[in-house]
Amino acid sequence: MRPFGYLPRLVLAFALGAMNGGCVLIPEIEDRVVELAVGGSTVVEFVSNGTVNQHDETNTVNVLEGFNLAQILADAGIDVSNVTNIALSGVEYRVTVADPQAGRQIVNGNITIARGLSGELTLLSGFNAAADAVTGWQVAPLDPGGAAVTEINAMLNDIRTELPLSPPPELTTITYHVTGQSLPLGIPTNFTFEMKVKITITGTVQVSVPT
Amino acid sequence: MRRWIVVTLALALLGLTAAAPAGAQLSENLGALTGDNARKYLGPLPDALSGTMNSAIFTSGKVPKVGLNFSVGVKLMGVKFADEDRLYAPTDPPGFTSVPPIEPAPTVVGSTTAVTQNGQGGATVFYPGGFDIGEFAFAAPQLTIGSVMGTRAVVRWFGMDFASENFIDKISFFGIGAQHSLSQHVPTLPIDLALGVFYQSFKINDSLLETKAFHVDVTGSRSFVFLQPYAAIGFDTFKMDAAYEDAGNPGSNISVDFDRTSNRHLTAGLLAHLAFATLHAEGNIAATNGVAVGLSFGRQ
Repeated sequence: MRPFGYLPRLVLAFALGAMNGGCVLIPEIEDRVVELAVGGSTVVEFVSNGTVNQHDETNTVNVLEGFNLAQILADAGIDVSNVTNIALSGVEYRVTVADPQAGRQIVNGNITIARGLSGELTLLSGFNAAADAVTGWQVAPLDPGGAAVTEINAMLNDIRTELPLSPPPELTTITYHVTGQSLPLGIPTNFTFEMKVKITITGTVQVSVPT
Repeated sequence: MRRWIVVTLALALLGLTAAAPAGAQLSENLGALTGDNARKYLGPLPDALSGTMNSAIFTSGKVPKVGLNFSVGVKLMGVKFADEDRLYAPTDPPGFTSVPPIEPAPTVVGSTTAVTQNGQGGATVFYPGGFDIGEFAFAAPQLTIGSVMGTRAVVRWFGMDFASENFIDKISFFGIGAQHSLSQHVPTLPIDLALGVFYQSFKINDSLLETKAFHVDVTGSRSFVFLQPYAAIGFDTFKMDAAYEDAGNPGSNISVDFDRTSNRHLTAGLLAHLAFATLHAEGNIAATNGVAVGLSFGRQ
């Protein structure tokens, strides 16, 4: 009898056992429903031109004109029927055209929004910003009360509910009201700034993963 | 039996390629995270990749002094994730101040359910779910060719383009190194001993995930008929970087640099020269402890 004649089979059995018994080396491919989080935003431009002391602007816009939720979802590979949550995550602003007046700033700025019968709800309050230089995106402080954010979230969910169709304009039209004092006093303003409303969205996708 | 081995290896390679659809969603998940949180979300990956990529490279201390010898085969390395790898404590994104309760979020290997964190002023941030992965396996084709002055070269490679299947664009993997016989210089040694060095680069979509691994070890082995137990003591370094598009600022990218990690690497294994192939199985104590097996053809 050949010495160690049984060993080749033993080694083979060991190797195959290691490969399959522990699973760690041979992943099983399983489907997973993963909840993604993606972001989107819409930007509104404000031109402050000629205001001397008090900036006061009211405007009505259809949010869907600058916010393409369907496209955001398509880019992320999320089917509209699989969106699970949508909410406002924050507001940012930037100066895109600087005021030629050195030291130009807006102080005690407030922005309210109104939708349908909600009445004016404060989105940003006590907002101060320099406007004599172009800036990058900066965080705007949300009003601690959060009522405007709640209304915006309700609007976003109205949009989500109607997808893939567009909701009726009365659901997506908001009136915003911007106020603030312009300094230095007595000198007309001439600057442009943008406000970005950031949205966060979750939705499910099915993926195959090795486990 | 032979066919069964081939099927098993094919399934293992499938595991690597099947990760691709998940990879596409990985890109989307990162887009919603700040750099800090992306680093935490991907936190379990560097050790898992280091523990697998740096394993099963050198499986013998016996390097012929001269002559043509080569082998080609596949190495499979696997590690398990620990429970603590599944969650992380997110850092508030700029401009967002979380309010209690503060929720931990799943890492890339954690729960598939996204987490909602409420913030001041009614703002909300969602942290994406993970892929619920308990184990991680890495497969690598490997070619060994020698020998010149007791030195042989080792190469690993893998590349695949997924563009036409709408998966991630591309995976590319390349490794190169050499092993030099030390025992040829000390003929009285009771075992075969060799010094090995190996460098590897692994990329997903060129820069979505980019890793560089370096491994050096001294491997000792001794032959008993067709069996060859081996052990190695080594050192690994691993560097991983990620880059992805910021979903909140389309067109701008976020780069995440992970710290370079260094770990000692201990290996014990058994290699068997069979009639038609060479098999080996080993255990590794490294960045993450794991096991590896390999099947190769040719003669080392």
